[in-house]
Amino acid sequence: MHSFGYRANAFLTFAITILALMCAMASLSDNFNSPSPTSQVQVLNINWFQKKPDGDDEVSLTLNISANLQSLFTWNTKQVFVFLAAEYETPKNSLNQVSLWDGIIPSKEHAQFWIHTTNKYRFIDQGSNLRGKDFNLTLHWHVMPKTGKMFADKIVMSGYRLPEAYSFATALSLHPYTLPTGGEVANKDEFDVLFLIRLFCPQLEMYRQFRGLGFRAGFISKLAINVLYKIQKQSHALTAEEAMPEL
Amino acid sequence: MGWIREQIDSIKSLNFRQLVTQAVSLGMIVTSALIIWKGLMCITGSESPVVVVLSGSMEPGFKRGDILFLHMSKDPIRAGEIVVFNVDGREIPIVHRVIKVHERQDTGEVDVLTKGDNNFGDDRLLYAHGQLWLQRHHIMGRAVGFLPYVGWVTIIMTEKPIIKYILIGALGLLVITSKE
Repeated sequence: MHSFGYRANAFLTFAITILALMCAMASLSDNFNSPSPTSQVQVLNINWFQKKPDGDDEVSLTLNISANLQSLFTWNTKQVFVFLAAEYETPKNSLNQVSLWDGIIPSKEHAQFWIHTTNKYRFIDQGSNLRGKDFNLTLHWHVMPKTGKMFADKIVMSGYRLPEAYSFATALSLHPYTLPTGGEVANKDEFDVLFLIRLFCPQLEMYRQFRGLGFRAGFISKLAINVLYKIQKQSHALTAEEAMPEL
Repeated sequence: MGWIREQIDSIKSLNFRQLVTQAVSLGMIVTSALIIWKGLMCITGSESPVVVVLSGSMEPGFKRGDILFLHMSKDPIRAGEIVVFNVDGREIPIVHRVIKVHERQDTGEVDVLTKGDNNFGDDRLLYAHGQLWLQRHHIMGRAVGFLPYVGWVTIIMTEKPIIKYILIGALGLLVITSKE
């Protein structure tokens, strides 16, 4: 009756029951917290706005995100995952959610933040519907507990609108070495060339052909820069479609 | 040593009637475990209601060895949710977060893109060759609950099968020899 086996069994059962009960209580205690987070997002700049070679619209934004999520933290909170998504409707899709920026907040001290950033993930539409498109910016958060149930909620901020026309990057407003079609290159010269070529002749073929004819990368770069200047002098409101055949 | 001798004695003193009772009680334990598992499958609507995190791609949120409880409802999939999905040609399901959603107007079908919180880029490299989006049928469930460390039991047992056999053997012996 009082053998070692029985005592070990009873002890383990008791320990696990208590542990499970504590986990459940910790998780339930989260329900008593009624958070009131605040957030504000500004679109500071449209860095560039273009139609990709495959026909989908892509835009690059500079954002200013400020939020106070301190009230989300309780004693059972391990971290808060926060992300900003652009949400809009198109004729084809009833809902498009594109995550633009995200971050992990490890503690309450870091939960009040202010960040100035370009979009971390590419803002690409499925199709060509972004010109003049109204969209919402929604700040979502996911509370990851130390144990138990996960919570999620959001703040919807509406009233954002994309421009009616495509636009080029003014080379300076772009983060250096980040190509407009994605990807990064370490070499400045290579960047200049690829950036301009990709911007103006989506078929990278032309760049390859120039290289194949024996032109140096730097020369093609200068050529492309010249074209860029000419286009910019003509008109700032020139759309990508109109400018494309220039080259 | 007294405990072991006691156990051996109890095996020796087994008679037929007792043997049947023990077999039945062992069967009860196995079937009740199965019932709980299948019941969970019914309630959660997911073919595997509990998964163990195997990789560090969701750190620091989920570490290797943590357990996730899944739920698969009719609700549409939205950005930010942590989903478990299967990719054609891959056996092990992946637990990652949804970062992009495109839902069709007419059919309600969804195109979903995922990413691990701790990964640099999105998951297109993990998908089948040429696959750009996940569809509804790839997704096994979404994570709703979280329990740390418990999954280490299964990780250790799959990586060191000898421990699994010792444990099963010991439990079986305990059930057979226990007197009520």
